Amino acid sequence: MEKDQFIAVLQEHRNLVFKICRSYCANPENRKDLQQEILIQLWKSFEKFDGRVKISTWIYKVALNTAIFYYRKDSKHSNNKVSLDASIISLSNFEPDMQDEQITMLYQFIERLHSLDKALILLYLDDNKQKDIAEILGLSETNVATKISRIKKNLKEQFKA
Amino acid sequence: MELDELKSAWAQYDKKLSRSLALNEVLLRNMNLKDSKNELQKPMMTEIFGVLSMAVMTAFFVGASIRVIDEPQYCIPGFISAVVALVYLAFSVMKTRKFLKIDYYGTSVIQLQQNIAEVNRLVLKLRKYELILSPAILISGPLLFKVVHNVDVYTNIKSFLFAMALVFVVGISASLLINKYLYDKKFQNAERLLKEIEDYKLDK
Repeated sequence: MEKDQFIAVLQEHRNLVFKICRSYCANPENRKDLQQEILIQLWKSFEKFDGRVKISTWIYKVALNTAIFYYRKDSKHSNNKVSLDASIISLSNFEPDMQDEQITMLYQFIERLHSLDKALILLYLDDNKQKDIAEILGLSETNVATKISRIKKNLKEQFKA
Repeated sequence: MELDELKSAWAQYDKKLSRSLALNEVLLRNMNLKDSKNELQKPMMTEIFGVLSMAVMTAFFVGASIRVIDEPQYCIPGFISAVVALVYLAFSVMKTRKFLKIDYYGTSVIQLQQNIAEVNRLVLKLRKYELILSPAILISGPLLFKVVHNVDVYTNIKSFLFAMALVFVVGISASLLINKYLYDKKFQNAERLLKEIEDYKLDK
């Protein structure tokens, strides 16, 4: 796939990459590195994309795998990347409103979750079907349902406190 | 606050992101994406290099031992060294095969994390044995001196044995210490991570 097509796909799914980076990296500097790492992996994986799954499913898999791997190893290891001054995907004219407070709290809650639960909740919040979540993560649908209800309970308790 | 209430807030947030997120195309076009490697490529290349170098070493020890087959004081250490190199070769093949089996882009998130954790555990486990085995490569001394430098170490056997014993003791002690303080801990962490992923998968 040519770079133009890649950019077009990325343009369409930039929100997804941004939310994954935001959830796995609280530190904005590290987030820039993670974003770069995800884009590299997406680019490398695109030649293997055969269209058997939805493009969003593909992006979720690669981006989440990279984020989890990166999260475990921590950001200091990344020696095959050039340090960038600017983010490739960045916010502009983002005016905070009342709802953003809830989103900030939600991100704080996500930050405290297990790295695999982070992936699960992101997929759930992005309104993916249970079947798709199960496929992306490699869990059974029942297991996905159980984990979501556990996270819901946990969130209810934390937001109550 | 319920998660489902937050889900609608999240949907609004997503719409807002669509309006506010900018993709820096210039920066992306200037990035050298083609030459970048994924995190697993570097250790895999190291292992492939290990396979090649150990295959060459094994062949060299066997060949050199055959050349001095009439002199058991050289060919026996030579064949023992070939066996040691063969063990290293087998370890490198095992690790390379595990690395090659990982489908970085096609497997599910949990399966990939599990595969990576398994490779990590295998690498650490074998590294322990490799370290313990490393002083054994000294056995090749008499053969190497004979074949490469044409020096007979047995003419001054006392100094040779002393040097061998010294290097052997230092080597064994160093490998035991490195294993105890570095790899044992890393190995335990790898085991714990693997168990954590397996438990998550089975919802324990």
